[in-house]
Amino acid sequence: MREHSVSGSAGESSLIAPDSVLKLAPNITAAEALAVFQRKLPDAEAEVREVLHPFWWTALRARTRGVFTRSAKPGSAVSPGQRMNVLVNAYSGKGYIADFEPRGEGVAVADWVDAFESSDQGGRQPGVDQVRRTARSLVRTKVVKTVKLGMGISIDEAAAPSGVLKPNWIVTGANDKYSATILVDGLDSSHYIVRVEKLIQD
Amino acid sequence: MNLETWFLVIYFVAMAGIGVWTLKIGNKDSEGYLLGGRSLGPAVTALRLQSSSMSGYMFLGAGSLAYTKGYFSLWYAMGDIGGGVLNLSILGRRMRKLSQILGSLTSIEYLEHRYPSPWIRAIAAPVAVFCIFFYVMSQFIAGGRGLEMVTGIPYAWALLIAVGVIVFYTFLGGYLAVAYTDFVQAIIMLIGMVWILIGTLQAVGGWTAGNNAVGEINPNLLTMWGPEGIGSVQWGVIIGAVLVFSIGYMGWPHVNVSHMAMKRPSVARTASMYATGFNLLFIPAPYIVGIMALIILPNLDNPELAVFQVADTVLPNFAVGIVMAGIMAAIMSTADALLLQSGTIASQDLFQRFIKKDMSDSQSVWVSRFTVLILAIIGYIVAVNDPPAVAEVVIFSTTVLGAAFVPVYVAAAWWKKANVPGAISSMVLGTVSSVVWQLTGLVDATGVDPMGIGIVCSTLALILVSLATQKSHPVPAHVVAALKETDKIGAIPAHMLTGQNDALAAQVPKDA
Repeated sequence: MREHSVSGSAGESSLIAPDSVLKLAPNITAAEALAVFQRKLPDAEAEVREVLHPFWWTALRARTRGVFTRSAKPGSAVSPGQRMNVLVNAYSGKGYIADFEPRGEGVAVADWVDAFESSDQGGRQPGVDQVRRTARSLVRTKVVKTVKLGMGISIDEAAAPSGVLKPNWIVTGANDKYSATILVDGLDSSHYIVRVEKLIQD
Repeated sequence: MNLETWFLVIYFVAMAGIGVWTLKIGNKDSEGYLLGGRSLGPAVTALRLQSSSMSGYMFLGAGSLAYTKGYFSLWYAMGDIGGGVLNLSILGRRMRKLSQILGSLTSIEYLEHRYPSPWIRAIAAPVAVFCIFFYVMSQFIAGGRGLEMVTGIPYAWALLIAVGVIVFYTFLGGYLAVAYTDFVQAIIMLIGMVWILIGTLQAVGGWTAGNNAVGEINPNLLTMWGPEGIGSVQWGVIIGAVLVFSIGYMGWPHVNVSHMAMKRPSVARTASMYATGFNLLFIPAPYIVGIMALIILPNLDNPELAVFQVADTVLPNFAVGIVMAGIMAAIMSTADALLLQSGTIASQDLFQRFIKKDMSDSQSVWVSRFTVLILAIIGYIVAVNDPPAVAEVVIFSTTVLGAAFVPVYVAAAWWKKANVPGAISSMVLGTVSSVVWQLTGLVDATGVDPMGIGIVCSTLALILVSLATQKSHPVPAHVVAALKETDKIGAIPAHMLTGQNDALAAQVPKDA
């Protein structure tokens, strides 16, 4: 991990950046993002642009074992367990378990830092240790929900934290009544309304 | 203070405690306050559905019916037993899935999203609030009367205490509090009722001996045809009792909101198993106790008190306290669900929709809370000064609710051709026909239940008007797509969800 200096409203601060960064390919096209916008604002004219949001990505492997199962002897076959990919927001430190394996092209770390600086989000930036803790805690919670009482659980890191740039679409436009900006998730097309204004008063 | 009163005090404190506890764990936004964050599992869903639809009627009305009509009263029990399962099977999974796809928070909003027109809400919301207010007031009165019987304190104070506790936890915790208190109340109701049944059967020397003794009073009481025998049976009333009680629940907005709060659509299947188990254990009990009361208390002045008086005779003092808590549980679980629902409709369906559109989540929650408080105050004032007859108010309001809403809720989830004009005409005709049938005395003249007439009218209106207006008012494409998705079993694709994904708020760039 490297430290980068970042200037912001709170003055100069240091940013922990990953050693390698992957830019995820969007599952949702610009036309589909526009369709989401037009479903909210029928007959709207709008422009669409891609934005990237910085995430940390780590993978963990969870294994479970029954109460009466002996420990595996060295050299014997061990259950591979379940691999889980966790994405942690580089700003808020909130994480979620992804139902996909992150794939995309490798990009420069500077791109991740640029994406980080372009966001308006606040909050305490998570360090690598916190990313690991968040990921482990999420995976543990998910496994505990499904295993039987008394089962042993072991969670190991399958991939060290690295950087991921997640694609989203910003769609800005208006119809004859409203002007709005929405953020469309580049992976699953869910949306968040950033701004909406009424153009004609009743 | 007697032992029975102590049990009631403990019960009230426990219910209020649940209210405070859920205040801490939930309701940060509207979805939390109104739907418990769509987080309820099968047991809570089922028992909440059952306890909020049973009401004090099961302890007061059911016993009275059995005391006066014998096994004829089991027609009503049969309708009731099937009601919860029918509701969960017909509406449960589909309403849960469709409401999430359409982004609906309240059961009235759900109707407007399914039939996209402001008129739907403008008609449905006032009808629902009007009926629910009367129903909740009847529960207040029943609660006050129950507390007065147990503690001996004056009715006005008993009413104030009952209303106060109900409002306290509904006010603080929203749907989550109501859902969890209803769950606890369903268990208390069940324990109380089964306890009375066992005590009663022991007191009469077993079911066979009890039936023999009832047969000596009037052999017709042992048949399903009533005290006058098969010659005087009103078939319209029997059909009404079975059908209306079984399908009527599907038209109650405060009961249907349970479907929307389920954790997953598949919860409905497991919940219907719990509901069946609860119904089979709980519902026949007050009727059997009412029949056996003919032997234990042959000269009862007020048949409505049959179950309570039998409990007082056959059970030890401490058990009477628990049973009274059960009776209060039945009354209060209905009242709190109704109060919350009327608060919800007033804030989301009327205030936010027609008065202040840009209301924040926090403001919306507070409007709901104040509405609950105001309705409770008005309800208290009416109930304390000039209390109407409980049974009449309950029958009137449930009849109108069922007649107005059963076809539109069922068609919303099942029929892709049901459109706006069909839904509007169905609600209007269902309401008008059931009210007119009741107020003009046609019930006595024809022996036909007004809810049955109302449902027939509203169903025909929905089908005929929808089919006649398919070209002029087609069902919008996104609603048809949502209904097709609802046909399928499985997770909802993200692109179908109309509600926004708040998690994306943390990914908004600076220059957006």
